[in-house]
Amino acid sequence: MTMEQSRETIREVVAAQGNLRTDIAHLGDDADLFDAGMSSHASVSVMMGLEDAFDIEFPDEMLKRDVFKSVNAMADAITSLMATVP
Amino acid sequence: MTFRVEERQGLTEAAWEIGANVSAPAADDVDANARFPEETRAALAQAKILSALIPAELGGGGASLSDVSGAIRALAFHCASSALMLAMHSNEVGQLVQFGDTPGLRALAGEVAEKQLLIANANSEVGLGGDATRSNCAVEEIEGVPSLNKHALACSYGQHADLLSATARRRPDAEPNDQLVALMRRESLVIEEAGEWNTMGLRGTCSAPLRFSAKIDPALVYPVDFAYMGEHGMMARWLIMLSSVWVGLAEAAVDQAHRHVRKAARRSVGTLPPSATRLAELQSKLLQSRGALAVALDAYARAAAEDHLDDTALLVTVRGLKVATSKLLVDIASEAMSIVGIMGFQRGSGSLERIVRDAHGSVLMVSNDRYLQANAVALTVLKRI
Ligand SMILES: Cc1cc2nc3c(=O)[nH]c(=O)nc-3n(C[C@H](O)[C@H](O)[C@H](O)COP(=O)(O)OP(=O)(O)OC[C@H]3O[C@@H](n4cnc5c(N)ncnc54)[C@H](O)[C@@H]3O)c2cc1C
Repeated sequence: MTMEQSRETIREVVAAQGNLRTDIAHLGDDADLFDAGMSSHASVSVMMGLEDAFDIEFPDEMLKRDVFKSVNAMADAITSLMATVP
Repeated sequence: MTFRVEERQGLTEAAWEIGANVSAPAADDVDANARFPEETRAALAQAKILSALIPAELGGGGASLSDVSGAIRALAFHCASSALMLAMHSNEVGQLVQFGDTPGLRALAGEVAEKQLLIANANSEVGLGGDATRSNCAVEEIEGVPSLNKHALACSYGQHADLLSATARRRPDAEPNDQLVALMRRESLVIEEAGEWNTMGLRGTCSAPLRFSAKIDPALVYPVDFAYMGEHGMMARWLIMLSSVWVGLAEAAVDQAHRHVRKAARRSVGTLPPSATRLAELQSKLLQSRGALAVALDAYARAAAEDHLDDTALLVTVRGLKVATSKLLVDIASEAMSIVGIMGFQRGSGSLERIVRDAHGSVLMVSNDRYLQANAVALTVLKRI
């Protein structure tokens, strides 16, 4: 999966689970999703959606606000996870 | 059964002295008249305990969370309302120290230490119940000046504090969870009591609903938002300090029961009074409560040392701590009452009634269901409990 495809998948998960008040299409890859209305509760649904979509598991150390605050932050986390998977 | 003498050192010992000599003698009057424990506040200020969490270089005591937890617990043994004041104030101080990384807020931390200023909190808002993660009110420009009008649901000692801290939406068009936190000085506030504080327990906290308006000084607005602070250490500290009150109050209940059993045992040397077994049961419950607090303090200290205060696992631990210590407290207080019997049910000296009434406040301040629900959500993604 290319970085671009990953970002597209992340955007789909956020659109479905993030409960944003703004259409994600109007937000940049670095936009703060919490500022756009994503609650902590919704961010957990996003985490689960990403685990499912990418078939990965976020280790507990990664379950923090900063990792899920923007499309790019999530893409970086996912890339680093996929890189460690053999 | 109470703190062993060797455990009561430093800040805990100082708070214990204040609790025993200042808070305890006033506790019944504070409770009966739902009045603010002014004498305890003055004693805490004199002992500089109000700035315990402020680093020494800013003029504070440079204490650890564990030290302050001990002080809160010692005070709660004598007067739960006084201990809650110290817990709520220390939460504000902890927030100021950790997140007040601007010249204005740094200077304020120094001023809190120097003048022993007391900080109250008006986060919860009428219409939103215990959900502090959203605000209806917003900072608005009125004649070019940022201003805030808020109808606070419950604001402990709001009328007695030097500073008020409150959440609000950043702008009138901001999302409900896009919350800033602003500190307001007493002089800049117009406060109107918007209801009574005539509760069953925790009466000395004087947590009446308030309507207030203030001009917001941009220098006293935190540089990061409320949710960020909550998830990066503030919530963990708060729930540990709050739970310290519940542990100290449980210790007070068990102490009454212990005294009663010792007296009964002396009267019937050779035959164990039946209540002695009940007391042993109570001791094991108190151990659960103390143990949970110790585990959470340890988890916090490790997370702080490793710069991981934003770990979801830490939040799950402290929410579980609050639920556990509050439920155990209600249990322990009523079982202590059944051990002490009629003497505990009566009002006046040797009574457990204030403790029993105060204990019930622990469950709804803030609702255990909210924390359980937050943990239920977090546990769906957390890998280790
Ligand atoms: C002694 C005391 C002092 C206080 N001091 C302050 C203060 O200084 N500053 C301040 O800001 N606030 C203060 N508060 C308010 C406190 O923080 C809570 O906001 C308030 O107690 C919650 O009120 P509530 O029970 O009506 O609301 P809720 O928490 O909304 O609860 C109402 C009911 O709904 C249920 N419920 C609500 N949400 C959920 C959910 N997500 N999941 C499951 N069940 C749910 C609860 O179980 C409960 O049965 C104080 C409260 C007390 C008791």
